[in-house]
Amino acid sequence: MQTAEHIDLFPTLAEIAAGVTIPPCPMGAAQLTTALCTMGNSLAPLIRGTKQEVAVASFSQYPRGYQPPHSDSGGSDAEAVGDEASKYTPNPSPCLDHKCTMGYSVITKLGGTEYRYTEWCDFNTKFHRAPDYERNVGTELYDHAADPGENQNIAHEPSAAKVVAQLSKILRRGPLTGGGWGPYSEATDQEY
Amino acid sequence: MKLPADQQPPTGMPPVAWSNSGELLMYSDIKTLRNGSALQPGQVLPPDTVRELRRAYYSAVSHMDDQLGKVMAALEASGFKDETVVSFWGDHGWQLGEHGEWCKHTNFELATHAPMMIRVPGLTDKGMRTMAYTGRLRKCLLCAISIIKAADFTKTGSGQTYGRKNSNKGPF
Repeated sequence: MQTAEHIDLFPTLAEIAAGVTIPPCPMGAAQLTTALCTMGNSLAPLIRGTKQEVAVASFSQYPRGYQPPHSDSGGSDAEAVGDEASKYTPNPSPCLDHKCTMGYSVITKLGGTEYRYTEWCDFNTKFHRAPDYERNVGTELYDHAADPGENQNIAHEPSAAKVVAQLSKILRRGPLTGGGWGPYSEATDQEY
Repeated sequence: MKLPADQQPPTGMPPVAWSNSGELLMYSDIKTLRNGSALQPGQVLPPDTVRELRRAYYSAVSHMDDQLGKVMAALEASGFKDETVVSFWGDHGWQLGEHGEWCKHTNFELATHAPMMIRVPGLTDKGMRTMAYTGRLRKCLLCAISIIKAADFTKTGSGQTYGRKNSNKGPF
């Protein structure tokens, strides 16, 4: 599996079009004072055929309207929260200034098997514009080898406990090249 | 036009993972069809509506493909084709009734797996494939804008970190 992310586009184009190597971002608060860095990988080695793989995981995130931990209230798009008039009108991101629930997701391989793993948790509560993974409202694990259509969530099966523990660590650390999930000074001071 | 292989949510799916496809409900015909009700887990649209929406999506993809062909033809006619890098990408995947979901608002594979293609003259002429994901879009857009700034650094050298003292405004 070769994975690539949109964050790879910048270092790729910089290298190919301008001959510039963009350095990886530092973790944590140092990122805030770094003028030029990338959280992605240049795909130029893949394009030139000098490497078969530049990254082993790809990350995504998506917001929801706030759902307290241990609630079974169900999912609602963050965009759909509000009065009737705004029910179907997308709102760019209520997570910027209000508490919400955020779903963090990673696709990667462990022991030769491809998995998608997702944790839904508090956002903008304990940490400003950052997740509190301890306040979890849902975890998903799909085995893409056995279940490419993602029809069975096996996150809570005892046999998957070891895989879940490994994937949780990978997910919370975030993009591997540098910078983690972003310049969150409080949250990224924690060791994942 | 086939129906999705599985129109039901995954077994064991936490409720928070579900999107009620509110975006689809913004379209008047679907809103009328549903009496304004968004889709709950397990609810599906009528088979003919599912087929019609899937056909329309494939039609839109074909149209976009044709438009991109026009851009590439114009690039060739301009004489700059062999010295121009072209990147073509979408910022998210799309669900067409799989799991009973529509549009993009989940973390399922189909919503996160996005197109990203790069054409580099002399390097990608034989084609290449990889996988791409959404979710980091906002920073990526900033990055794309900043490539102009990055080019400015060419004379200074590469592989360096350019620090900006006493700034908390982020990289750019």
